[in-house]
This record gives sequence, C-alpha cells and structure tokens, in this order.
Amino acid sequence: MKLIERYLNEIGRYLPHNKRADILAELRSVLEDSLEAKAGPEPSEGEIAEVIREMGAPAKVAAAYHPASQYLIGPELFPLFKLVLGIVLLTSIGGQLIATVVSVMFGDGQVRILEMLLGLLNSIPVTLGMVTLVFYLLQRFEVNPDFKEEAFDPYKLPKFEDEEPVNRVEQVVGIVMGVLFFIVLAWFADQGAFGWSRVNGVFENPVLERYFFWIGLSITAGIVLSIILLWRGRWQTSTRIANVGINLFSLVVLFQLIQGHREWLRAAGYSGNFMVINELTEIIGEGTQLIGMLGTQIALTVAAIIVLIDTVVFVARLITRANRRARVMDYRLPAK
Amino acid sequence: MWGMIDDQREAYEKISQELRRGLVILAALSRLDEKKYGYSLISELSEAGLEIEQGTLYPLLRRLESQGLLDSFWDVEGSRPRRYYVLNETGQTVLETLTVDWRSLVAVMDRLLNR
Repeated sequence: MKLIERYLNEIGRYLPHNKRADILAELRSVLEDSLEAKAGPEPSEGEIAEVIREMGAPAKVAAAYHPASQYLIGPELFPLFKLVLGIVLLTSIGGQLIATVVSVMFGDGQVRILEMLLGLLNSIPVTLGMVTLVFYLLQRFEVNPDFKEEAFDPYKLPKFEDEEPVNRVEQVVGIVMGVLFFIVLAWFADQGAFGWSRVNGVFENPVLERYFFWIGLSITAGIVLSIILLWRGRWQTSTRIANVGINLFSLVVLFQLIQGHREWLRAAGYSGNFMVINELTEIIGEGTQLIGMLGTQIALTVAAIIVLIDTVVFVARLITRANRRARVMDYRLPAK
Repeated sequence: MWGMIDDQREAYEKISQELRRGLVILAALSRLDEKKYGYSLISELSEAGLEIEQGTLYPLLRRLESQGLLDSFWDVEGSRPRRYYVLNETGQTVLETLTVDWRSLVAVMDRLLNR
C-alpha cells in the first residue's frame, strides 16, 4: 500500500492547498475500489502498480483536477498582463529618461549616455520579472478579473495610416510660439540682456549669448518644418525623419544650455541644490542675475523634458505605424 | 484504425478524443439520477459499452458539481469512505434539454453520414 501513499502525495504536490485533502481522499477511495474489483482484498505490489499506471502520471491527474495550475499566467489573466506590462515598461523607461534630464541640472557630472542606456537595459528584465511575479501570484490565488468583453464594432477597426493628416492647429501654434521666441531673442540680442519683470532692471545671460546662433537655428528649423507641413497637409517619411532630427538637435542645444547654466551657477557660488530654501533666500538677496540664471535653467529643463517626451512618443508611434503598414496589403487573389 | 500509419493514427486519436469529450458528460449525467460513487459509475458505463479513463471521469464529476448540476456527499458507512454524486434539480433539467439536443444531433449526423 506504500505505493498508493507515494502516488497520492506526488499528486498532492500539484494540487491547490484548499482542495488537496478532499481530492486525495476521493482518489484513494476509487483506487481501492478499483484494486478490489481487479485483485480482490489482498492485491500484490504488481497489481497495485498496474492500477496506478492505469490512473495516470501524477502531474497529469492533478492537471485534470486543477487546469489553472498548468499556467504561469492563464488565458483569463493574460490580456490584462500584457496591458499592464506595456504601461509599466513605458512609464519606467520614460521616468528614467526624465530622471536623466533632471540629473543634468542637479547632478555633478556630464550625462553618461552609455551608463544611462545600460541602466535602461538592466531595468527592463527586472520590471518584466516583477510584473510577471505579481500576475503569477494572482493566478496562484485564483484572482480572476471579471472583464466585460466589449461588443465588437467593425467601425472601430484600426484605420490605414498611410495618409495621416497634419494637425493644423498644432503646427500654427508651433509657428506662433517659434516667432514669439524669436522676438524675445532678438530683443535680447539688441539689449545684450533680459528684462526681469518683477524686479526693475535686466540681467545678463552669457550662456544664452554663447549659444545664440544654435538656438536660432533650431527654432528656425522647427518653423520651416511646420510651414512645410501646413503646405503639404499630411505627414510623409521625409517630414517625419526631419521632425525627429530637429527634436534631437534641439535636445542637444538644450543640454548644452543647461550644462552651461549649471557651470555658471556653480562658479557664482550656488551649490546646485535646488531644494535648500535658505540658499534660495540668499540668492534672492544677492541679485537679479542669479535668480534670472536659475529661472532660465529651470525653464530650459522643463523644455528639455517636454521635447524628450514628445520625441519618444513620436518615435514610438512611428515604429508602430511602420509595423502596421508593413502588414497592410490587398488580400485578394487576382481574378483570371 | 487498422492499417493506419503513425501520423494518421495520431490525428485520428486526437479527433476521436475531442469527439468523446462532450459525450462523456452526457453519458455521466444520464446515469446519475441515482447516487453513485466514482468507481461504480465507471463500471456501469463500461458495462454499457462506454470506456472512460478514470483520470477523465473523476475530475469531470467535480467540475459538474462546481457548475451546479450535481450534488455530492461522503458516505463513511460502507467498507471504505466513498464520495457519492447525484443529479440535482438543475442537473435534471439540463440533462433533459441535452437529451433533446443529442437526439436531434444524431438525426442530423445520420443524414450527413448516410448521404
């Protein structure tokens, strides 16, 4: 009879705790019934083995009682798993990119691009593992989401995006902003300094002055692209690539500017710790230029974050669109 | 089945298994108007000509119970404790409907196969 104990214990390993005792008691009862019918009250070891063999391998028997144990993440949970994984991966990558930009402002060294990329690469398997673990536990404890399946609507099928129209309002706003910025820059070039609205007087910004040409170039490029887009009325491969190129160029300029401001601020005795309020009040006491430089640096950082997010979203959409377009074809056989 | 090469036999066995999967449920329900324990049910079906693997039938009984068609209870009076299953009211109704479905399916299949 030892064989039956070993068999039942092995099946028990694969069964959920709350059902184990009851299922195994029933299996024992039917095994004994089966043995008695086939071998009488005193079965031999061989006859027991035969009855067990007939019943099947432990994992297989357990699986029939508890099919969910066969999945790491079962079919009910899988769609939610995919959705959550996508969101978590995107936010974690996006968050790290933003953190990198912020570290340019508050950190003590150059941005180490390679280090950042390696960090990103490292974080992906960890994120994947964590989400999988959470869903494995949900599966294990049989927490199943009760999804109301949306009624299928053919009109909601994805559109072909070959002819993606340009959002005109967006482009017009872009042009207006660009021109306004240009006016400010021109005024700056004329005065050699910025006006500070609260405090009377102006502050000089040697960093902006140094990169004046590059700032102008990146804004001009943006305005030219917007005009082309308005004129053509739709996005094309060339304009998409140009958009990414201009964004990357702007990012480089912004990074240089932020870096320059940081160096200037440090040279002026500002430690770079944004959060120290004492220091801030001291700075306010110290004069317009310091506040101006700090304010500009913060504004530049915000701009860099916005441009970065915009670029990442644009590239991500570009990739999904390219994927979809690669599959689009006319599924008809030519008629003879 | 005889004379089939291995690939054919494998395909045949898969299809045959699928064909029997639903049928086993109906067969089990049909015998459970009186309380029965697992082994007695399997023997009865076998005597009637339907061989079902034990590993298939016992989990199936539990599933039908969790679906609300069967009631079950342990009886510790006999030579060993046994778990009995019996159709409840819902099970009776479902069995009657399924029987009608089955008869019409058989008629349709007969027409299709005897053309």
